[in-house]
Amino acid sequence: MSFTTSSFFAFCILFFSGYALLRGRARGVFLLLASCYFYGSWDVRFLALLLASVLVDFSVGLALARAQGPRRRLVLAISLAFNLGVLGFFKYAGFFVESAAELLARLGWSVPTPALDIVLPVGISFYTFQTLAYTVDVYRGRLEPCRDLLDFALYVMFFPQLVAGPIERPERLLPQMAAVSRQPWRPNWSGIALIAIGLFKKIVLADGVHAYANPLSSPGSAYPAALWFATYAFAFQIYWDFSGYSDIAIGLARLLGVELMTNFRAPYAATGPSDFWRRWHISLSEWLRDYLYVPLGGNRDGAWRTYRNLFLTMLIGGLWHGAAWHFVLWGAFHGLLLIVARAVSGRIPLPSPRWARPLRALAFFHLTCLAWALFRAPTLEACALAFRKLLLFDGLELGPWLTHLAELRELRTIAAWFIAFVAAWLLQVLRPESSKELAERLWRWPALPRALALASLAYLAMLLAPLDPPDFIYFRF
Amino acid sequence: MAVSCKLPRVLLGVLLGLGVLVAFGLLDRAIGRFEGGGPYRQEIPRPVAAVRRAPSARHVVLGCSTSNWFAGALRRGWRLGKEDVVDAHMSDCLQACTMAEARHLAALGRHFQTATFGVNAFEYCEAYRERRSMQEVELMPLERSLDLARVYWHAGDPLRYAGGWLLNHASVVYGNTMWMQHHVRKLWFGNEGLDGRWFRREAPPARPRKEAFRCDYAGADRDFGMAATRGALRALEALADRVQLVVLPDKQNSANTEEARLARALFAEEHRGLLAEFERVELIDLLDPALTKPELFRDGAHLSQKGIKLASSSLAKRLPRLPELARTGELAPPGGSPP
Repeated sequence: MSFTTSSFFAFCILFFSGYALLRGRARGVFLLLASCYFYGSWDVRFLALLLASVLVDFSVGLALARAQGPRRRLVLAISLAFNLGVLGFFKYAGFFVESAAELLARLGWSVPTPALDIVLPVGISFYTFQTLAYTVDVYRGRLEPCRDLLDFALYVMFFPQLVAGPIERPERLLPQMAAVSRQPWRPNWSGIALIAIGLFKKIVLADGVHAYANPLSSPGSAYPAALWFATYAFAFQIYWDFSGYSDIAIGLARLLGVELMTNFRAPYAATGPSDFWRRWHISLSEWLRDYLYVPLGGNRDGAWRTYRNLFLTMLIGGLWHGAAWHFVLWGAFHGLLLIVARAVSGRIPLPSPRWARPLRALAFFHLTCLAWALFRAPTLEACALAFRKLLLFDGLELGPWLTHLAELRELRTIAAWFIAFVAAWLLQVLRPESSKELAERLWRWPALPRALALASLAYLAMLLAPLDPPDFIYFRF
Repeated sequence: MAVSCKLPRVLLGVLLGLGVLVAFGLLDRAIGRFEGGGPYRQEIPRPVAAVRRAPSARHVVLGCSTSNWFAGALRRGWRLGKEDVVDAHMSDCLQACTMAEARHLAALGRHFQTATFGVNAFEYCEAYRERRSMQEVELMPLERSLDLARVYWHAGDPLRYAGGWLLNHASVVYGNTMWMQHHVRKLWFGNEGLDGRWFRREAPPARPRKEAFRCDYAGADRDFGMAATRGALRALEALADRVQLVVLPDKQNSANTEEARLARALFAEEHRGLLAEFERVELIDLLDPALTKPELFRDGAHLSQKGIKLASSSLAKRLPRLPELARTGELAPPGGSPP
């Protein structure tokens, strides 16, 4: 039940009607049941896995509170083994088996591999990271274990952010989940504006442009200029798609009186890799920083160890996105960017006046686009081919491509989308605000212009919806 | 407190937003009709207007495009004039839509001597489509919405249909007039890059032609399909003295294979089984060997010209005898005397 379906619309009508009528613990139980229904609508079999995750980590939290000395490590190891074991089996088993078989085949050993046809439970990467954050924080003594199963189940299964985040921290979300059953409902109505913005981003922009990212799947036959256009298209598609999803999730949570963290803040206004990761998928990058980079040693043990830790963190971040080598390569590329930026920082003077900032942002945006080509290309061979063309080893071939477009009557479409990309980029650079801030500003408008703006967004979303809309990109992860 | 203070203001905003949305929808609909841009929405008033233009018609044909040749067969079989039979079939109108159309026509005060509609196995395989939902929601009189709810209850995802119903009523736009897509996007933008030629030096390799309308009848969501057919027959019984349910072949299940034969047999048997629930429904089974040949179809669901000719003649021969009109000019009671 995706956020953009009529099923979800009906679900929301029924859910919010019930939620408004109930009080106290009944309201919390109702929210949990609705979350179970929401998750089960994808594949009811995996609801058991999710509930098992809730029970294991709830028990681990309580056990950690009682355990002393080395037993605490053992209890934590149980949680890590369970969570990473489940994630590893469902997400990576096939990938590792195939990769090992391929490696052995290259070494001359032919090993018969079992056909692992494992279905990936939706949202597993997100909720696993969220439960891991809880057990690690309790282990570190930064968090009191949750003693109410309902509150903890809501922390893991809260339907607005269950499937694709934002990956919340227990110290932020657990108290808010506890408040659901104990305090009056205080909706933040600006969530309506966030939902409308998110729907518009996803349905009109992301779904509208998705066909133009296709050259990255078959870069061999593409004009180099067309491939650059495709990388721009994918850069904005994935941004509109995922930030649109996050906007809807945060908007829904606000209507329930819950504040989720900001997940995107004008990422293409970033002037360097560290800046980018403070703006893109913020909940994941902060998770990786706090639960991977810092435990690895962070920047405490000299330059080389820092570089190693950065690289490993980004490599694992890439693998988190999907069990494929091109995702690993994407992570490695970002790791290298972070290392280079750190190495040259302070040694090479970069222009710092205000006018230079957009130029630096534009330059870094193109590096980000190169990384997106790795993310979108389906194989390592396609990645290599795409990079060859994007780095202009075959020239740009802009003229022949434009002539080709004119013959096909595609020129105006391409021009219109290109203008949309430029406008969207300029908007991020000139007004680098999150959708939350935009929605709050919009919500403060007088009633009529506000209604006109929101209804226009909803109208365009309904009118321009493709007949077979693609699902949210991050649902695959 | 926060809830109660702000709620009226928020509700006002939501109502205002809905008002703007409805205004957009009405504008879009008007432009769409004028420009011929919304084929699915435009299809809705066409058959209703046809019925209005035929006040003396005593026989009505409903169903989707697979029933578009029935009117001629009825005229030939019963030797009727053109004005006696009104063709009110509607493109894309599956069983739930036929139910809504029948209720709509009944609400207009029309009653017929016979109502004929056809189904094939493919219609049981259709996934949810906004445009189909739009047709039935717009046609169904609001007071009979529970009839739709009863059918939707049997769907694999009832919420999806319920959401479609709500969105259609709330916005007037949902289901898509396609005006924007057909006119602004295509006229102004030209092609939209969907064929993948825009980025390639050479034309992409021709894809093998996809066989449209494939349907695994045995594995289909037949519970929902049967609930919709049952609802349609119930609505048609209220519209006409006698209902004729024509069981039609489709290409896939016309193949000379054991699997296709089993699917045909199951399809026919289930529809024969339905008759037990109705007093005034006749079943006309066109799944005979002369018509179950894949070469008689122009695609997966629609008969070719040759197929229509054969099927039309077959239907004309199999029509049950026509009940006579009473002398008063009113329609004969169900099962009236033979001519």
